[in-house]
Amino acid sequence: MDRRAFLGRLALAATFALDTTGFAAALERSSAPQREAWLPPLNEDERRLIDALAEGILPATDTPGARAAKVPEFIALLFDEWMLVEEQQSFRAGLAGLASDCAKTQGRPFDTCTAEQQLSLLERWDREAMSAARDAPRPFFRRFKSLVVTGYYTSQVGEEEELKVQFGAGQDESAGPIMRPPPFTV
Amino acid sequence: MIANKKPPVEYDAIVVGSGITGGWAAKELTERGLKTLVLERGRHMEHGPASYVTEHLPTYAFRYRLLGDRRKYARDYAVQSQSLWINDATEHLWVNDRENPYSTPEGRPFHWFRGHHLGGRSLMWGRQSYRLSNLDFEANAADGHGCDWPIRYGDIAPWYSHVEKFIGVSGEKLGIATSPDGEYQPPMPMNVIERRFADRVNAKFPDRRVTMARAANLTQPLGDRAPCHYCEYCIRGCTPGAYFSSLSSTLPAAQKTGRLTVATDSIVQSVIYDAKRRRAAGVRVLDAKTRATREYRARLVVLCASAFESVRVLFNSATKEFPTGLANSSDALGRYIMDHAPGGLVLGETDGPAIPNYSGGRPIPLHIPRFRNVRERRTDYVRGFQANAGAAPMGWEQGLARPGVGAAFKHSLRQRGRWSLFVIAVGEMLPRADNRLTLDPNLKDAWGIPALHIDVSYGPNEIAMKPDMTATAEEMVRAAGFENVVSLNFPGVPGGTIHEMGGARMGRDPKTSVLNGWNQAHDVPNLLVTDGAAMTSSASANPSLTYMALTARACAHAVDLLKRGEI
Repeated sequence: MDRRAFLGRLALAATFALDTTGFAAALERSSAPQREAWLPPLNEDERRLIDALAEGILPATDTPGARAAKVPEFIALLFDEWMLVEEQQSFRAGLAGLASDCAKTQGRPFDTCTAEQQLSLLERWDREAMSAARDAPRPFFRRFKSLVVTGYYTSQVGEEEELKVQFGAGQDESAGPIMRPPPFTV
Repeated sequence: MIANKKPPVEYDAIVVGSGITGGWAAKELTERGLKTLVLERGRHMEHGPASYVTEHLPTYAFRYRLLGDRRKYARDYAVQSQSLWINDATEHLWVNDRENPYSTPEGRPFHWFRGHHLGGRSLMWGRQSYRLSNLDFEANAADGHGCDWPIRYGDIAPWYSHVEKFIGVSGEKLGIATSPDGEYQPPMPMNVIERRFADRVNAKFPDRRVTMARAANLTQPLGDRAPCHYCEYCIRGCTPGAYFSSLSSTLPAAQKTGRLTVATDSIVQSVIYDAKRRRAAGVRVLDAKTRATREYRARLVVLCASAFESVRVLFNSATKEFPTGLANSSDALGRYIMDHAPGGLVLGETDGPAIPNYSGGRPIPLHIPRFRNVRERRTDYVRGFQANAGAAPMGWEQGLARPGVGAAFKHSLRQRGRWSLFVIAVGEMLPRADNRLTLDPNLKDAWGIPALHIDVSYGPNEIAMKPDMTATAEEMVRAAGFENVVSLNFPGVPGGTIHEMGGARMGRDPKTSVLNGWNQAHDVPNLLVTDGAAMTSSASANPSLTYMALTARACAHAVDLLKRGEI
């Protein structure tokens, strides 16, 4: 299991598992604060693709899916306001890569494919991403899926309807209270 | 609750800082009859929802879902954002690094994490509260690192009791001399997986003891403070007062005496030294908002600004008589800086009971007091380390690393999965003269006050201890039967444990130490330093309880001296 998977097991550190290496590196480079040239917001095609990808990764089942949980909007927000320039560039490029792969193999945009075609593509992209070499840069699909997972399970829909989170009930459990690990300063 | 009116100029005592020690100084001094002014550089905060603005908010209430406003952090919180404690819910508690710069030498980074507001880091602290023992107080004399502490456990034990009883500490009595028992409310419970870890380690390693952390989180009511309800949002503020902070406890107690004045947004630039009387006469203050300056006078000045800020004030108080810093005839000011050095993070997995998704949890970990170099003497390093541990079932975060997409993937994350146990050790750092603070001659903060240059690095003993910290944690996790044991070894940066201390060490000899056994500056007897700057060695235990006990003891003694006309 690679190091990023380890970090995925830490509840709070997981919030930074998305792209820590890129952020840390960018931080080191920015010795003095400068006016960054942020990329223009996602266009219609990109938003449509994100919407379909997100819903495919976490679809509506007996509970609402990523679309109902407004995951595509959250990802667009992160792109606009949260990602650093290098991350925006690599996100846009990664999205284009998936779009192009779909065009080559299915001959049509992802959001117009059938549900079976979409699932088959998503499964292949996921397989390829999860089997990438340990030291290779994190594949785009892996990073995108992390954004979808985070966006879904931290949403009100995800918390209340899917996870059915109860507030602070832990101390009543017969198993005893859990201890969520603190964020470790590394 | 705490009045912020324009204060008069003359006081019996001035306390610089309102954090974990400043609050204690305020309480002890006012309760013993002194009209006391507390000067806090940061903004006013109230104990309650008016200031604890993120206290119980769910994750979806935050714009970035606790991922943090990273662009803002890159710009304004470049150091604070290295800590992982900063996110949407807590960013208002950490300093703006651009306004509060410091410098470090090339290749020797230091992470200085702090917040400027009433209550200081007593709002954000980890709350673990351990007594040091004579193993710690005698360590410097025994192995020659640093100078001898001028006190022993017997001197401070009554003050540990005094502090524990007031702040409320929950924990288990162990009967272990090197981790002395205190005044405790019942300990918080372990869960069944932690119980298994503890029972197996305790059985296999009779010289080690896994216990619940002793912590300033209540398990029983204390005055009008309620016991913990396990929401685990401590750092955001606790309106019920279940954990100890200046705001929940010491400042209100001081306020009750009617002898307390608090001035916030008040930056102490320097201590005023009266060369004729050879005494501190007061302080010079800069208003953080208006930049207006004013002076306050007092018979007693107590520095509780936090270790590095107290040292900084003394550097900035240099005079003709003390050209390298007030009270620095020893040249020890700024030296012998310590933190605690972390070992690797060890994780293990096991099957465990299925429990529902709920928010929150127990706010404190398990604790393993130091067992190294207690009965044996190792050849690879001196002194030792303590460890923390905890277990929880893994939740939806597994989806960040789990293969799969679609309905089956979604369904697999609905319930919590296997349990994950973490163990991490933190070790004592030896005092070295060349781990030191100085003033940076070219750097000033946003208010024009000279900033610090921090030159601190781990030494040979810390480097030698680290592999044993990681190996020992792994050994225990495996011995307790956990699977998939992995260690994450990060280099660690000094300051990362947020236990930075030293710089105005206590000692018997005025030629080699700044403070005497009562935290009085050898050179200026009505000037006390009672925060982390005073520490002569770091021990392996969390230091805040010791800071509070030293503060209460030093203030009580100073009041006695004042009443007898001796200072």
